Amino acid sequence: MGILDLGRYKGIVFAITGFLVFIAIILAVNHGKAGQFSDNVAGVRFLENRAKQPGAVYDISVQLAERLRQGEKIDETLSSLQKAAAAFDNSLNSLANGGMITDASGDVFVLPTMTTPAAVERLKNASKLWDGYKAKLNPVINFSGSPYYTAQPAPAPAAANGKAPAAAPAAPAEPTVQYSPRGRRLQAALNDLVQYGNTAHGQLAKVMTDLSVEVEAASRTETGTLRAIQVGGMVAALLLLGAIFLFFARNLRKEEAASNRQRKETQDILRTVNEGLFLLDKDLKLGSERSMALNGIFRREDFSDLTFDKLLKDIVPEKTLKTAMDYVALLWGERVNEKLVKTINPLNEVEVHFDNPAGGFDTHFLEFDFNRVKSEGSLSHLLVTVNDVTKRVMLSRELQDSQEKAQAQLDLLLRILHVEPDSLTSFLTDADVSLKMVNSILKEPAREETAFRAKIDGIYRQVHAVKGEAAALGLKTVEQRAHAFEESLNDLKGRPSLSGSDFLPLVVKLDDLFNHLAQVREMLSRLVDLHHAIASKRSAGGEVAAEKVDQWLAGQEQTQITKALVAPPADVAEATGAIGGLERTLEDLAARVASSQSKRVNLRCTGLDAVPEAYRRAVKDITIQLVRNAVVHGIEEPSERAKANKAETGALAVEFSPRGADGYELIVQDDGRGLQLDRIKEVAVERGLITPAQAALLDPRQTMALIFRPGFSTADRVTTDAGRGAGMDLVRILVAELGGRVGLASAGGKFSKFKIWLPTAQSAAAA
Amino acid sequence: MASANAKAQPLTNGKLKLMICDDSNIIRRKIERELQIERLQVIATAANGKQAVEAFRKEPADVVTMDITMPEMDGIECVENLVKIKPDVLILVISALSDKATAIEALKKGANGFLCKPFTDRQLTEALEELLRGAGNDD
Repeated sequence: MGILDLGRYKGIVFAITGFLVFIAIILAVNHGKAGQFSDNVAGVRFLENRAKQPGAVYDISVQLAERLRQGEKIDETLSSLQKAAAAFDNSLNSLANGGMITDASGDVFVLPTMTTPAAVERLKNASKLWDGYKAKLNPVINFSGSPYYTAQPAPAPAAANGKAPAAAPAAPAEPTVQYSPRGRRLQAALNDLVQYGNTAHGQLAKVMTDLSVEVEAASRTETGTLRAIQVGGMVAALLLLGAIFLFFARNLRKEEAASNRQRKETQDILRTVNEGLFLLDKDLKLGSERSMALNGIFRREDFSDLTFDKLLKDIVPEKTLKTAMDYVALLWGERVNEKLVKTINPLNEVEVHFDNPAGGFDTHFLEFDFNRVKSEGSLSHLLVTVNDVTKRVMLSRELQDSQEKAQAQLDLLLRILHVEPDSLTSFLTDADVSLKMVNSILKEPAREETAFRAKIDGIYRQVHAVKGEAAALGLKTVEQRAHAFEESLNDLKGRPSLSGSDFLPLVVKLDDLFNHLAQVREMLSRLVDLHHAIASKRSAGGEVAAEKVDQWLAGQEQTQITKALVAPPADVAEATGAIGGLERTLEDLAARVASSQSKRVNLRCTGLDAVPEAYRRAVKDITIQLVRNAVVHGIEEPSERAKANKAETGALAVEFSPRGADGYELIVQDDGRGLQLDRIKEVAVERGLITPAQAALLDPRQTMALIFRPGFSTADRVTTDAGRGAGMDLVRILVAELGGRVGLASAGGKFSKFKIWLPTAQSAAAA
Repeated sequence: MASANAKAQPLTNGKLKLMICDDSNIIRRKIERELQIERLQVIATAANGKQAVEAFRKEPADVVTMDITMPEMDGIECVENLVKIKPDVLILVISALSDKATAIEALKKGANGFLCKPFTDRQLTEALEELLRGAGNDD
């Protein structure tokens, strides 16, 4: 800022300067007038003084005449006359030359009054008068030599007055005085002079006196003017001061109003803006100006003397706080480029927790943005902008969830399109029954540990069956949910003690599974609707587009579904509820499991359509379990089979046949590697089912029986295909529940054969 | 100090010298290939912090792109060393944004900016231009 860069003070500085200049002018004028005044005073004195001069000239000439008459010496008197005449002449000349006069002390004064016409006229008259006077004076003044005869001694009558007469003047009363011719001439000239001077000196004196009066009058006028100027100046100065005061008072008011307005605008903005705004200084203290939104965002009213770390301390984890403080410190540093570090702002979308007065805490997401504020080239503050972005974050999460859900539904839909319709409807019916059963088991009252464990086992069997069927149909989403349910049950099984509340999470899982199956059902019904819509359109007029959709639906492996779906929806459950669907379910399962195990298998089913209604469900569960086991454990990989001189494609047979009064026989047989007795023993020991010593004592039959023990499984990993160890246990329980028996035959490297006898349906119902 | 034998001569073509430091050959090539800034010329590439410091001692670059997770010597330690050798070096950390605290650590040691992996050629160009505009510059 330069010295002349006065900014907002420019006006007042100019005004004061103007005022001072005005005062200076007044003073200068005053000073000039005061000088004039003193000149005039000196002039008056001068003129009064000079008014005496003509009188003096006259007096001296009279004296000179007297001396001459007495015959006294005249030299000194003559000299006095010369001087007096010269002095007056000089005075008159000075006045005539513009009033320039020199006083006794040699100071020069100017008397402007002498230049006025009246004064000039007066001076002219005086000059004329004086010229006449001078004409009379000159013969006297120019006199030289002696007026007396030199032979005649000069008498000394004037000795009394102390003067030694140089020559005896001619005196009328003293005829004894002898004049020289010159003396006579001088005497005549003197007489003439005295006579003239008698009237002239008075006139001249009057002229001078008049002039003096005039100057005095002028002086009085000057004094008046001076006073007027002083008064005027004072008044003007006061007026100017008042004007300046008014002007600046108004300006100040205006500026104050403007600044008040600005302050109010700022306050309005800060009160209204949705963002939390505040400034941070170098000590990380919050500035005094901040937006009202902060109160809501941080749920506090008091921000005074608050530092940034204190603001965050209780709402973010310690690690986040530390990182945030490091980040803010970086922004205060010189090296970091503000724009290039925005992405690592740890408070970009930070989860915060506020204590809830009602207990617990509320979770919010806040977005902080930091901007450097520079003033005069250096960093003065950080401007912090805070937004509550909870809604946005939640929405984006919901969006992501719904996208995932939509994707899952699409996958499910595609899967449904691949599934044979009878199998699907049969699965949905069975699963519904299973889950209802789970529900009723959950509701059963239980108090003891054993009852709790029995409940878990019961639920497990049902869920496992649903999982198995879902897997068989490739309904991944159902299978995953059932698997998660199983995991929860395993968790419960592993607990040392159980209570009723431990079962609560299962209700949620069950509900999830129910809902999901409802979705599948809903999708299926929509597909059926769609198909009917297309079918009716085609029969009405035959639309190419409808044909295409139909072809798509019917295309590749979907021929089956369209066939089945042609039937009206109401019939679907009934018409496809038959066991006919089981055959395809088992084929699908075998193919799918084989594919996942890189095996090849050919399943042949016979007699499944003869399964009585009472056994339908059990047969389904048993065959699914046995077929899966056969593919996972029995059938070898193609290379292994080739080495053993077997066909690369394994053969698997499921046969159901009535045995008259003996009931029914279900056989599941494969041409795989057979039961590996050593491996079964190993696993049983590993699982803690038997001790190594017991294992050594077991015969083949006893060894084979181990696979029906709860918790036995030979699959190495727990997968949805196998490995849970519940499979054969479940078969045994199902068969036992129906009052049947399980038989098992196996030859190493050749085959495994499960033979199940079931009683007649009536006796089963009785059982 | 090592800077005593450092040849701090500018390139004859008046360009600024760039060193790329990343343990991934793919990323190094990507940066080199996608570099669209006339003022920059790649003078060295390094696969770890140690190589970078050695190359930097021989010929200090004006601008460095720096990965964080690298064998032998990581980016954080490397940044510290490079800044000691040449305090006015401009360093752009290019790393995956798995841990913001680690990135901040590198910036505390003297890096000037951060670019998140994966990046497009446009993002790289913009980040380097911003870097060249000057550290601490927020206009």
